[in-house]
Amino acid sequence: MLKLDAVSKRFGDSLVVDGLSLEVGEGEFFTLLGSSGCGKTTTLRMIAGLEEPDDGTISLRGRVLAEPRTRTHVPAQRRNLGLVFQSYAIWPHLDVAGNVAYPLRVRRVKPAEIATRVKRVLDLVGLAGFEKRPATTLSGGQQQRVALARALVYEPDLLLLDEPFSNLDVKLREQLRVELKLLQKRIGVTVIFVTHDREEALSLSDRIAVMEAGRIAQLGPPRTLYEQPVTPFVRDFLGQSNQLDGVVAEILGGGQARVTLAGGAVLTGTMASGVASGQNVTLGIRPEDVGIRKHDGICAADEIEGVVETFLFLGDRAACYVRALDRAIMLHVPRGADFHARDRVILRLPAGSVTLWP
Amino acid sequence: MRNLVCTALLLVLAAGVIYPIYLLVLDSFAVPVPGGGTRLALDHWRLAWGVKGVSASIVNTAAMVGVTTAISLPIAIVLAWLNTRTDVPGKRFLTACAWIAFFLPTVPVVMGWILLLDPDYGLVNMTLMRWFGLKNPPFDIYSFWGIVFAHLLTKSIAVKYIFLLPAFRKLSAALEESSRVCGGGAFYTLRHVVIPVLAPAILITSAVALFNALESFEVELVLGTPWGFQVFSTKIYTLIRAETPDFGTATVLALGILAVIVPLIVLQRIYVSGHSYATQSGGFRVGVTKLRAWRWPIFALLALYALALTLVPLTLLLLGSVMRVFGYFNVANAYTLANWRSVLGDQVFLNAVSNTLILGAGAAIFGTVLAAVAAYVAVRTRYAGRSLLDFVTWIPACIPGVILSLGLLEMFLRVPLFRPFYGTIVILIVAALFASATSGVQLVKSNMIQLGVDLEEASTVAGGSWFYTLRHVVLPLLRGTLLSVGILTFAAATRNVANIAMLVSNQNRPLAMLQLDYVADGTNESAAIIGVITVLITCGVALAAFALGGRRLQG
Repeated sequence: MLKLDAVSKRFGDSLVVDGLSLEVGEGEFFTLLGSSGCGKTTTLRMIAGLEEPDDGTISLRGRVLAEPRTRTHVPAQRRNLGLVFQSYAIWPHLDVAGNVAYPLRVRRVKPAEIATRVKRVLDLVGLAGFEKRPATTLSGGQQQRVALARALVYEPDLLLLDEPFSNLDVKLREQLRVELKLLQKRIGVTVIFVTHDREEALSLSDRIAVMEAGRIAQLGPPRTLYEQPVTPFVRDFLGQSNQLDGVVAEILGGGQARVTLAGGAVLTGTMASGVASGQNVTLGIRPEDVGIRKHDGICAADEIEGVVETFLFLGDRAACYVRALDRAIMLHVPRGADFHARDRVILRLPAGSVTLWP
Repeated sequence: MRNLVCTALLLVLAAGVIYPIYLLVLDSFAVPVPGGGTRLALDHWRLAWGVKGVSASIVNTAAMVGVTTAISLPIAIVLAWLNTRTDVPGKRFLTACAWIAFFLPTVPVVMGWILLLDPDYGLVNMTLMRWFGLKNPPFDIYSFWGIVFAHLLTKSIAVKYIFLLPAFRKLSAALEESSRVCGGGAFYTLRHVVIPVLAPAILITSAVALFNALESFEVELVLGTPWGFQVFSTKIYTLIRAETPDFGTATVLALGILAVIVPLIVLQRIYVSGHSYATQSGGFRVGVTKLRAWRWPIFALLALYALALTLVPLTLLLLGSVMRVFGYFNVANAYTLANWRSVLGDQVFLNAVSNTLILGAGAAIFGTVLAAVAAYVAVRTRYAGRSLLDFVTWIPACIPGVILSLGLLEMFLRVPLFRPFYGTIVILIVAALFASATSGVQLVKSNMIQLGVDLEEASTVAGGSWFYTLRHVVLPLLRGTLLSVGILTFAAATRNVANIAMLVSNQNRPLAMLQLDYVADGTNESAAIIGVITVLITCGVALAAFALGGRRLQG
């Protein structure tokens, strides 16, 4: 329904968004993920109409919203989109009902209907009975709900969320995350979500666009991005990753290759683009994919030897740091696991979890 | 030592601010008894309202203040919004012109406009009459609306605009952007979000503007006197300057005005304390509303206004100063330098120049010291009387200059200790000093609060005494601020007439007062020359202030 085609935006000399193209489907929860300054918020603001692109086309259900080439720019107030700001932007001079009713008043909805719609949407976000509370007396989580109610009350074509959880504490954040997901499924609104938090992105999204320097580094469903990152940036941004050095010994079928490591160990992994036979490569594997057992004298294929350096108890699990092939490898183990510093261990790096990078 | 200094300061301030008002109250009840002496009675309060022009002056004041505020406040709000939220060109230029208008002495600017809008010879009137074949001049600056016009093109809008700018700048752009996303257009957003959220700031600005408007004296004196229009300040002035000064009526009128102002201050305080919205800026850069097709037409309007504030009246003033007869552009040999030669060689003028410079320098030096110490005591000490001290420094801003001046006049006439100073420059320095005390103390205070107490505590821990720390840490760090206070006080002292009008005699008369006297005598050519010179002095000071401290303030 929403289509961005080669959209660019510069501020002064810096190109903040660089020829960005993407398409969002009806009812989809779509996330723009990236670190600060990657252009994700600017992209959202261009969709909302708060910034004008310098190039490209933004269209919604076939209606062109912005296209500098034809001097088209539909002002924000005529796009019928909902936006929740990072700061919530709750108007301090209005109470909760006044804030939520504002978009309806702008649209000259009849007072009786305003009352019922405000009540319905406040029920929806769990703020029933808060109508008359002054906006300035609300907690962060309540303000966030008011902002959400205000963005939903006029049934916008698209709901834009700009880091809506970043000002909340961890517990509240997790709770609201679940609520948002349930709410979105219930009302079926299409959401564009901007965040720098990978956990939020992975848990909420149907699809994620990881952004880097104004471009999309990779676009796809959360699992694909996590398990098959196409660039080291995406791999490292989405989660921790251990790295080892090796040389490609043999190209196998199905995008796999066999790699020889220093010390003679042989591992199999999935190739990223640009890997050729005989090349030096970096092997990547996520901590939770590494298997571990006490050294039992057997070191099979897909396995390497190592020594435990330190063992950190984290509460719900433990992190084990192992020195292997002159690299520190971190892996997660259940909290009951019994490993100690200087234990000799065998690490198992299964073929499906190892990625090979030029 | 420390408490002694604080108490001495409090006493000095109280003597300069509270005691004169106390004397006003006392005088308003003092009725002379035949055979010398006085008794306390209500005679003045009963009779004053019947004195010719007193009641009318109060009505006139209310009308003038009300109409001027009603016009200037919306314009100032729109200007501040245009500056902070849109892509209109020339923002810095507009702000600079507003600051210049803030610094310019009023009478010279008004004289410039007289040359354009005088019904007998005003250039605009003459031109329009010729073009459209009118029989009567379309404009008359010597009228109610002429006075309103003069206010709008001197300080009225400029002051409010300058006051509103920081509030608009601090307002989080997200509050407006969310309104736009919700469907509100630019004007809807301005009316339903920006103005309500900024209501406390706008109210404070209005209050400051109200006190400013009540200060107004010169404009009405110049443009109102010829047709018998008086506001309370000019009425008090004429009562005191009459052949037989009527102190009784003047004090009653002054206290009557105070009786209206004080509740207003209290109401405003109550409202503001209940409505302080935190409008912190929301991280992201301030959004800019594109004016598109309106951009250049709006710029043209702004530029016109900015020039009308500054260049237009000053150019005409300069022209007026070299005219053989002020205002007569079409006579043969209209221009001459003879006026300049005679004024510059006049001993009266030279005395006035030296009086002005002594007045400005004296007020600046003592005013800065006073502001620094008072601010320090209020912010940094636990001196028991510090809130009283803070309150006393607020009073001058809330009391019209003419009333303070009347109180000081009474004090210098009645207290034997002070009587020898009557007629000297000292009395003017004292008046100017207290008139600027509020702004000076507030400016130093806000900077001192930002400074943080650690720097001073570090000095104390290192072994520095209180006075040593003040001298070697606090004052050096505040050097820039104190310089700004000094410059502002200098400019105010050389420019303002209302605070000193009643205290001036032939010996201590400064330029600003000499100019008014020339206008009253009808020697407008000489008045224009003095206008040019005072403008040069204040502009020089304003430029210095802008270069030193204005960087943070300009747009």
